[in-house]
Amino acid sequence: MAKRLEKKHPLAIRWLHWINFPLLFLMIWSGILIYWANAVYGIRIFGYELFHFFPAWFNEALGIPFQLANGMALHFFFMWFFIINGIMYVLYTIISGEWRALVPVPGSFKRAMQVTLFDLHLSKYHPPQGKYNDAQRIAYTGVIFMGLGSLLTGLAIYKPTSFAWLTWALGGYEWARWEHFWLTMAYLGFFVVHVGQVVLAGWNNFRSMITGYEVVKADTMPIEKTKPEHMSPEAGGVRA
Amino acid sequence: MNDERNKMSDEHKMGDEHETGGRQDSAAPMSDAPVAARAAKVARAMREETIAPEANKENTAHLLGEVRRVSGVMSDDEAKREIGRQARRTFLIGGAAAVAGYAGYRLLWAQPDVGGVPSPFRRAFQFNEGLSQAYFSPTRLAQEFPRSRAAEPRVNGGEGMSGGFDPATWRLQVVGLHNPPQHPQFTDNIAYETAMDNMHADDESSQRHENPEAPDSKVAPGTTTPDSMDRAAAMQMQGPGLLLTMDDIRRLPRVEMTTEFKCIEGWSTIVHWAGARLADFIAHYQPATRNGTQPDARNRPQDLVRYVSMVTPDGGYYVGLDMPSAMHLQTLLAYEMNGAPLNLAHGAPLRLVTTTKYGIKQIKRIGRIAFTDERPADFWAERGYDWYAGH
Repeated sequence: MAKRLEKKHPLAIRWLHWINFPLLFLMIWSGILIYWANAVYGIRIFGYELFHFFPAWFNEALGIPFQLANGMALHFFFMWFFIINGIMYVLYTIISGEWRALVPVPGSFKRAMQVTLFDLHLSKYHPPQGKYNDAQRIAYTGVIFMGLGSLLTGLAIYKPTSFAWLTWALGGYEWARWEHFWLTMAYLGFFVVHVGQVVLAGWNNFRSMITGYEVVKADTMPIEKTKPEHMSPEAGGVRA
Repeated sequence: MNDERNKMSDEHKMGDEHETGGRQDSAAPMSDAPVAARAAKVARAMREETIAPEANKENTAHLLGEVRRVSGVMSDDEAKREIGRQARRTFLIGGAAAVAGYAGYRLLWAQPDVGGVPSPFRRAFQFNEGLSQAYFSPTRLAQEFPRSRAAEPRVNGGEGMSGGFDPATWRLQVVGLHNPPQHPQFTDNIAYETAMDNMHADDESSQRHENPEAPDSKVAPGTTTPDSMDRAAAMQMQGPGLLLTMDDIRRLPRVEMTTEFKCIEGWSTIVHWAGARLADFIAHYQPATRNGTQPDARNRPQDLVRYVSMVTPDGGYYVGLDMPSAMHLQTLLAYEMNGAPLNLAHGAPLRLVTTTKYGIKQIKRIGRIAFTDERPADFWAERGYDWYAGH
């Protein structure tokens, strides 16, 4: 069976993705150290707390107590690298044209639901997709806005007087802290689903995030069928 | 298969050299060894990387003109070999990067401590402080609230709040002024008689912490370190300066504000305060200037010495403030909280309240105010926290 190697992930995106991983981890870890000093959030239903962030056994097991100073030192050091890495990712996707594969398109929401049902084995229909399916388009674009949200809610609680307008717009200091916390929980949710999907997608897919290439069947590529005007050499090159 | 590849030979060839790097451009002649020939063939296939638009109209990729980049056609075996080669190279690079990243992280923590935190983190605090200072304005105000929302803040930590303190005999020591003898409260020696002599004897009763989760990673809550005892001794300060009474403070314009008190631990409480603006105090008791000229705190605050130090009467707690934060319109020398005079637990007779800093800077029971051009010692900054701690 003839094969091709498909270039799925550009070098820059691979680096930025993998650099983001430890940076986000450090931001979350240091955030937990900070949060411990005023650990007031939980999941409550009708006044009954189902789960408290975080249970004592969790704090004890991970050595979280009495590390507020270390948490702040880490948080306000690595935030710069986290922000810079995020900005470089966004700039790269815009400049390189990778954004075309990443942003939601008309009909994305419906197809994302179909993908979700398919992945949950509740449906046999998998909608057509580009490099990423529509659930991925929504998730990968959404997580960028979550990053922006973390930046803004973080700034609102870091400098609530200098950026009083921002703190106010986010509902006040305590709401901004709540939002910052739940965005972090949402990253963890993203992470769990993301890793689960990567495991299910298999080695060829995972490896492509390291090498850049995925092995594909040669005949699945309808590449010689069309060549739009703007892609032709006469039109001045092919880089989209 | 060759046909298929030839068909694509007019496609654009990607010049993405280092991406697919290490290709045998100087490939050995085909006739030599089959291995070399195969490698050359794979290298050609990789070079033939093709950019093509998605043709399938069902496919969402065509909507935004997504493109796919694929190599030329290879056999199963060739593809396996090539992806293996790519994987070995990139996993090695990635592994090396991970090791380097981890080593770098460990190296950060191995740097010498500066104020209870490794120096790179201390420098990051200072870098962030520089940016904050550049943006800071004494007239950029924090939100204020209806007085009805005011509540009593938590009492958190007892450093500097020794027992046996008598507010009636309290005086406020002020040093670092421009031409202090011009003020009637001037004295050659600001040491004064109070009930402080036995202040350390009954520490136990007052060093009680309502909140056992004091924001202290290095020192167990409620302990007085030998360091702060030494400072207490140093606090019996001799020398010229002013000795002020509460009447002196009350003579300054009275200001009220209902603002959010924010603890570095993460909790906050809306509190109604009354007191004198520190900016008004500074305008009345003008600090020395950096170059010794006549100060004009209202119009040329940048000429003043750059810092304000505040210390409790026992020397057990001490904070440093930058002058712009001290001059902020919401920085008060407060003597009333929620409509009543401050009680001892909340810092009677006089405490600092400001929207520009965390609670750790809002020192209770101010014993001495010193204007200085040297960055003052700060209790929590010596224990791993940001000196600026600014909002």
